[in-house]
Amino acid sequence: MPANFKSIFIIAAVILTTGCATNHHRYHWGGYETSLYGYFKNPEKFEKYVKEVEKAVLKGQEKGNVAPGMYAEYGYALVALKRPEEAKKYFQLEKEAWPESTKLMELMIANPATGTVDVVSEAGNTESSE
Amino acid sequence: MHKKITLFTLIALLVLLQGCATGPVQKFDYSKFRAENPRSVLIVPAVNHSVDVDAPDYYLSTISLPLAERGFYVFPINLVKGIMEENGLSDADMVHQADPRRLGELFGTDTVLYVIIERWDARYAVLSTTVTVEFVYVLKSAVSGEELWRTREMRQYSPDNSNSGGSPIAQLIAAAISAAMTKAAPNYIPLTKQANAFAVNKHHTGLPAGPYHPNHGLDSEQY
Repeated sequence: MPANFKSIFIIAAVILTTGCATNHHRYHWGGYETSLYGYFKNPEKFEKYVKEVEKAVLKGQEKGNVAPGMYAEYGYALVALKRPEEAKKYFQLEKEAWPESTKLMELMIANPATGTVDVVSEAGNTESSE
Repeated sequence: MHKKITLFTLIALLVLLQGCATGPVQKFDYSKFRAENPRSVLIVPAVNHSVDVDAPDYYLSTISLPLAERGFYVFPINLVKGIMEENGLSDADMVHQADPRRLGELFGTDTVLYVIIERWDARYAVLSTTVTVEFVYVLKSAVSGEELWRTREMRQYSPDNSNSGGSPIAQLIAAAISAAMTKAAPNYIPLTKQANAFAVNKHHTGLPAGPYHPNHGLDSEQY
């Protein structure tokens, strides 16, 4: 009986400390939210953002739970880094993982340069496309 | 004796669990949502009614996770933001007023989520600063153009200055410093995440589970 009491007490303690929050996510998000916030706050943090999105994709692939949009976010970052061929590969992966994205991803694959200028200038890159 | 203690613990546990729920709430009318059974959500720039011009961008970084975890395909935030800017759709007020079906054609989305930032501020009151966020969430069909879901969520935080110890004057100084620091660099993001999680998940007013959630189609009692 004391053991039983103890276990209930521990369960209660665990519930108390975890509260109403849902900590277990279905998908692997890694540092996506934090680095996106950092990038929106300071466009010079673009590289940090790209690194975190890349990690979120790799780790998600490893665990089999890449978050919706993550492949595409990485692809879009690669477009900004002037790596359109690699970008297409990730747009394709997004399309295969999430059929809901088909229309937009086909647009991105057909024209991966869309958005290049804006993102590059926002990233503080002085290199001109002309 | 032990039995009594166990019973008390169980009751305490129940009370704790119940604590997460709010009292009786009028259930939202989900008939339109259920009829369309959407799979995907496009998040457009938030309309800002606060005085903080950065709030909409910061807000955007917090909203894809809760919706994706609810079981929906959420269009990539940064990509969509870039494409919308490229296409002259970065003005939030204009986008919110436009027909969602136009966005449906452009992006191939089932629904569009419009968020209005009602409050995003830190107010200084004597010796404490209260940080407040408040959002209105409106989900519209990009197929029929109809409103499928709407809710409002507010969260507030004021740092607890009550247990700084020491003399009353030391406590007052500590409280003033803490309030000034909160005022100087208020952190809206944890509050915003809480508001989003409640808005999306709360029984009777949140969003029914999407197609990638195991409860999809099985939660009509809660939603």
